[in-house]
Amino acid sequence: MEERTILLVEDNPDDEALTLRALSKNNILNEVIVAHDGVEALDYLFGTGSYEGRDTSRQPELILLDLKLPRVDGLEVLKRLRADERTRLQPVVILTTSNEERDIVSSYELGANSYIRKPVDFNQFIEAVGQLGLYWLVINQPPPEARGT
Amino acid sequence: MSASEFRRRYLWLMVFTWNLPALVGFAAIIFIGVMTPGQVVGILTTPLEPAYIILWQFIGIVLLPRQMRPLMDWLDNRPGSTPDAALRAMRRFPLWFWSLFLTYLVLAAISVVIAADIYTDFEATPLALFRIELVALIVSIIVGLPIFFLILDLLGRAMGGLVVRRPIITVKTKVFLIGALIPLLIDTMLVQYYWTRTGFFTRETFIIWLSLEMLAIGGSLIFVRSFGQSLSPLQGVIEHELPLWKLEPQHIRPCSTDELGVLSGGFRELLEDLAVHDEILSFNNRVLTAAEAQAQLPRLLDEIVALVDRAIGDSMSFLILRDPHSEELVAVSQSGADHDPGGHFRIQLDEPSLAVEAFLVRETLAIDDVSRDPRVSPRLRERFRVCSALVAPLLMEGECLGVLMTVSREKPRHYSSRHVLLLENLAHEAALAIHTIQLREQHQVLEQRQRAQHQALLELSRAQAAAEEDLATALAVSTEAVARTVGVARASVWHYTEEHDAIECLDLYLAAEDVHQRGGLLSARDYPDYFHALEENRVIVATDAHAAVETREFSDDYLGPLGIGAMLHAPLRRGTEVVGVLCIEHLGGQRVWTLDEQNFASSVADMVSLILELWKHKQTAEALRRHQDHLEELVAERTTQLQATNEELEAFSYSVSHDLRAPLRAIDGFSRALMEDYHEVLDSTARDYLERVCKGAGHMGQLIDDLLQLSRVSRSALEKKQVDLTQLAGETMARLRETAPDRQLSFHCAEDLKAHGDERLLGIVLDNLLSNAWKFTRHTPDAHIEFGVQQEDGQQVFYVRDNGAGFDMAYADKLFGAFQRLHSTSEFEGTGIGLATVQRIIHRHGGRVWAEAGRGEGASFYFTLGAP
Repeated sequence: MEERTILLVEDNPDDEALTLRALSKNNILNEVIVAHDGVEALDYLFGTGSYEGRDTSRQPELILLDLKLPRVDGLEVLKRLRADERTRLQPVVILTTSNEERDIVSSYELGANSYIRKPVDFNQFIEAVGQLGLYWLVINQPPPEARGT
Repeated sequence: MSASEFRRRYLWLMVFTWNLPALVGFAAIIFIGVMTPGQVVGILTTPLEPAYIILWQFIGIVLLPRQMRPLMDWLDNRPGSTPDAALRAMRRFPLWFWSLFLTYLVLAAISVVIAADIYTDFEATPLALFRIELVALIVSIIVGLPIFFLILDLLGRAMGGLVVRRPIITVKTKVFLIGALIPLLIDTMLVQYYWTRTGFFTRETFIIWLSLEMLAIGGSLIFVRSFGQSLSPLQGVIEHELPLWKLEPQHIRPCSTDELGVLSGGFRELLEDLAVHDEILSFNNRVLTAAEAQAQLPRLLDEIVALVDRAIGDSMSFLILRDPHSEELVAVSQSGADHDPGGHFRIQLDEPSLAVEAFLVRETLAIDDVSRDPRVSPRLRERFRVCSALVAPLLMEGECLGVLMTVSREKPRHYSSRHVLLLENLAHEAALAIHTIQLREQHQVLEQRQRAQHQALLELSRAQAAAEEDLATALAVSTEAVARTVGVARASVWHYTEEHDAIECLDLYLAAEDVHQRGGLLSARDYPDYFHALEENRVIVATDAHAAVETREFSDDYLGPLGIGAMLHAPLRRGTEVVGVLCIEHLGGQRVWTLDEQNFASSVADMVSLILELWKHKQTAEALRRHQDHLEELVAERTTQLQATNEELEAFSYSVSHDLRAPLRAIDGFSRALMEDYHEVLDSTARDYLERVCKGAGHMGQLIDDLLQLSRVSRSALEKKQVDLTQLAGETMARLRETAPDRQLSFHCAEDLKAHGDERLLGIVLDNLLSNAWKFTRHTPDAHIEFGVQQEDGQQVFYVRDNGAGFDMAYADKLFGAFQRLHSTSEFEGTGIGLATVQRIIHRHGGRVWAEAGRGEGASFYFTLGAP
């Protein structure tokens, strides 16, 4: 089985831990790269900054993107991501606390593939993460170039 | 008379002309004994005499009518015929007639003698021839003249339609021929008869006959001359060949004392009167067309006096007028002197004087002998040595302007009714002239004044246009215009103060110094009568300001010191309300304000009112605009603030939704991780605590969501449209059933419930209400929920009814407040925000929401939606 990485962009360490726990609870054992803000996420994706020299032809299978991020926010990351040839078709799931309508609308407008609100109830959260892992990593057929080598 | 009738009569007369003399002639010959009847019969049976008569008859009957052809043509209205040709024919007629007729008769005598000598025993002697010639001559006149006049009469009747400028046969001729000649000739015939019968024809009797004949001819000539003298005025009329009305009186000089003399005298007088009337007429014309009326009047009055002199023919005439400023009559015009407006003499109205008498009684007085008349002033008799006088009043429209007087000095005379009439006519003319000129003068003055007023009003209207910009200038123009036009020293505009208990001077123009002042206050308390009059909304006219009821209270402290004598006040109005006054003040004594001036003042006041109104309007408009500008600023400021607040609020909500929930999730998540990962280590109490921590975090998450929703329904814009409530309720119910598919609950929803509103928000309303019903019927065995509508006061009232736990109506007022709960969390979970959200949405739709319930009896929630 090919290595399918997940990029989790999350600034809150609690949420990061809970998400990782939820992923593992759902037996999603793919490698998870965590970026703690928008800049770090973009550096990873485009092989810049601290990720200088990373092989950008290998892109994560799924990007879990929070919206409220330090430095560069989630919507901006999504915008740049969609503007770049390398990540244009990459599946992006917005995983956020906000259920503001304008956030949902903006996300879809910028090309998010899915929008999931993090429930307060952890059981529900685990369920939600499980379902999205199952869907995006197993059921969903990714775009050809994202398959990597 | 028609031409045929004329012809017929004319021919008959011709037959008489040629036959009657022959018959009479023969009768006369037999009668005086020159021939015997036998001889006469003999002559008539010879061929010579009848042939002679028939020949002449033919000549007469053919030739003479031919002469009259133009006349007959004219009577027949033949083309080419003229009355002049007819007249010419008629003028020729006597010459033709008499030359033919006399030739006929003279030759007739000769033919008779020759015929008698040839065919009878008659012996032709020179004496016999002379006697027969004499007979022929006499017969020609005795018979010919009447026939001639008959023909003339016929012609006269035929020519009656023509105007004949000079006579064809004069009256004098007619009188001479018929009145003198015919008796004379008849007498001659008688003498011949006696001579023949008595044979007493001697030199002596012949000389006596001749002398008597001469006497008779002389007498008849004297008679004709006397008659001619009577006719001579008519002759004068005819000689000048002028239309009758153009004749001068001197053309007619009556030379007799008979009827003709009387008639001629009358005609001469008529002509004289005509001349005077002619002059009166032309005078009248000059009066009416006189350009510089005032300047012309003296000359016109002098003319009247000269006309009186000519018309009445007296020694002296006077025109005496009443002086309007004093009780006197003034003789402004007098014969032989130039006009003197100061008067050649003046007469007091209480003096004994003929002029005064006529002036007072307004009647014409004719006095032939003034010496014994007490009404005549001694001065008239002594200074002017007047013997007779005629005086007529100058009457015009029931007023007496003066008198016209004519006097005869040195010798007395009689004034006929004609003289009276003439003088009255002239007096009337004089009155008319004076009146006309006065009228024209008045008219001119009026016209000038009107022009000035018009000009002033024009200026004012310009001032009005400028009033919006500059009130002071507009008012100054107004007061100046008034002062100048009415001709007063002071004009001012006053306006009520705010308290309406005094008037304040906005502009006072002093004409003498040409300066404007303002300020000054007149209090209603000090001058109650004036203010009372002012409030009556009328023009106050004070001819004598010190005496007038409205203004006399100003007398001591205002009028006196300023020297004001008369006042005219016109109210300034707004609608019917008096807002001020236009004040016109005359310095000096009294002044009569004409109606014209009053009207003008009123007009100006109206215009000034308008000026004030315009200005006020402008002020108000400006204030309003400033206020509006300010308001707009305020609104903009508030909007900015509100926007900022909204943005802040939004940012806050956003943060809340994000940042408040993250820690909760951590609390819940890690508590669960603890429970799962350290399950063995934790005892049941610890697990219970962790359970409570998770529950609390979950509740708080719900609370945060509800709060966010509440804030969101307040902020979001309404997007109203037609909403299918039945469908919305159904969807909500279906969602609820999914959460607990095992629950037994009957739901009844009325069909086709429609409302106008925001679909999303109405969805929230139904969601909350139905969720509540769902929630509170949880413990009810036979649970039932109903959604429907009922009509109340023409309004749709929707309701959600359940048979659940209900609540105590005592707390109904708390129901819709945020965080207000009527049940414990352990009994029914909830945040207490749902109904607050419902109420806010309903209020935003302009509707109302309320509830009815009882504890354990279920609850009904009603709501209305405002007008779409």
